[in-house]
Amino acid sequence: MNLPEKDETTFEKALNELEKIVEKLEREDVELEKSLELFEKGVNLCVFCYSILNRAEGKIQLLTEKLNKEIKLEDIDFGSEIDQ
Amino acid sequence: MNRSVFTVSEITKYIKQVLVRDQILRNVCVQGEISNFSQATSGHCYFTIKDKTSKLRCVMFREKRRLLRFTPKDGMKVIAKGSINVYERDGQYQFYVQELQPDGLGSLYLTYLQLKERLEKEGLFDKKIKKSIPDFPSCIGVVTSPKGAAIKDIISVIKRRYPAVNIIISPTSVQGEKAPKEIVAALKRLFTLDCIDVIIVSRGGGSIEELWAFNDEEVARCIYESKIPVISAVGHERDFTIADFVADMRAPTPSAAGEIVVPDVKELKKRIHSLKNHLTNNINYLFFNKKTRLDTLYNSTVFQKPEEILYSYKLRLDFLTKGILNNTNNAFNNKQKEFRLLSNKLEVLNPLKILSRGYSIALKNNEILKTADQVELDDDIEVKLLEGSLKCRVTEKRKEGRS
Repeated sequence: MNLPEKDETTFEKALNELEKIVEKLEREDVELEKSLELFEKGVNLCVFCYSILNRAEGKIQLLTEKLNKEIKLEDIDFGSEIDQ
Repeated sequence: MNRSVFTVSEITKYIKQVLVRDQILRNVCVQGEISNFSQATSGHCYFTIKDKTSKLRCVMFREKRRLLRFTPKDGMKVIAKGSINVYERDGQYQFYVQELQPDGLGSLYLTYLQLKERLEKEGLFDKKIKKSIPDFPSCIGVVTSPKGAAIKDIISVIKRRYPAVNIIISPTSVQGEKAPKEIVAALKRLFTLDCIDVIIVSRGGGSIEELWAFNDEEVARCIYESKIPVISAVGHERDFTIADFVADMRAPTPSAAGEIVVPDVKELKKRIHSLKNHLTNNINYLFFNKKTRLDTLYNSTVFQKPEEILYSYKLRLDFLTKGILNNTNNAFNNKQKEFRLLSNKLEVLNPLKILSRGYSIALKNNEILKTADQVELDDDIEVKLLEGSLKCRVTEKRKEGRS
């Protein structure tokens, strides 16, 4: 198992690689051993991408909630003090 | 032009050049009384300025006319500032008026013009040294009369637009003899405070004499020396004072100064709101874009029916297996046929078959006998029959040829 390292592989890289693998496997002109290897790699990349995406989705939801709940523009206090 | 005869236009051009090059005529103030004043539909004004003995034809163009704070009338005593030039078509020299002032203020106005020119030459109005006004000041100093209309306007505008700011008023009188010194003192009081982000020097509308303190040289130099950005807001839109030229920014009125100096909270909130929406929309779009790409890949046959990857291999293997079986069978059948053919042939040729039909074979020393010459009398020979064999002795030889 060569699960991509989180630190060195970005989502974008993984997704691009996954795309290439799927394309290769659909073309059916790979050696059997190679195709198994590709399939295994593809599965790992797919899992990796979904895990990143799920984490991102959670974070986006959390932040959007924060944005909508904690920051209400009507409540922002620009003060009203005037020193003379 | 070393000639004795000129055309009219040549000599007119020459006169024009002489007049235009003259240092005094280029920028001059002339005092006199207006007569024959008329304003064309174009907006340009034509009149003469005269005294007891002479007349001067004057033109004032629309853009300059618009800046006048009074309406010129015949008989009015004025000081005009401008330049002398020649109107070639009529062959007449004319005074092109840039500024016009009633003569009652003549000396005051001249002082103003001279000071303005001097300070300008000195570089006090230089656009390059203007400081920028901060976008979000937290403390604004205002030099003005605490009783005037200006401070009320400024405070109400700032309060409405951006309540979070502190306003420190440095009070001063804004007209009268003592005003210039008081304005300078008021500015210097603000200079000693650390918290001031921007200063407004202001006074409401009034006559030119009432605004005069803001044409004072000391006031101008004090504004120039300020390390804090200064906004001037003196009088109405038409009033230009030395303070306006030397300040980092001129506001046409005190209310306008309030608008320039702080942002509008309502506008800010709208902007933040719109940025907020953009922020969430963009990240959601980005996310779904990526997710769609990944989902498409995940939904491909490769992941949904991975066994199909093997189909092609299976098909090839099946094909080859069948091929091998077919080929093997064919080879076997061919050999079998060949074998049968050969064995039939063999059967036909079998010598035992001949014996079964009654023929026999004679041998001498295991050599098949085909002619009588191969034996002598009394030789022992063997005769093979279908069943068994005979030992015989030659008793007679006949030479009869073939039977």
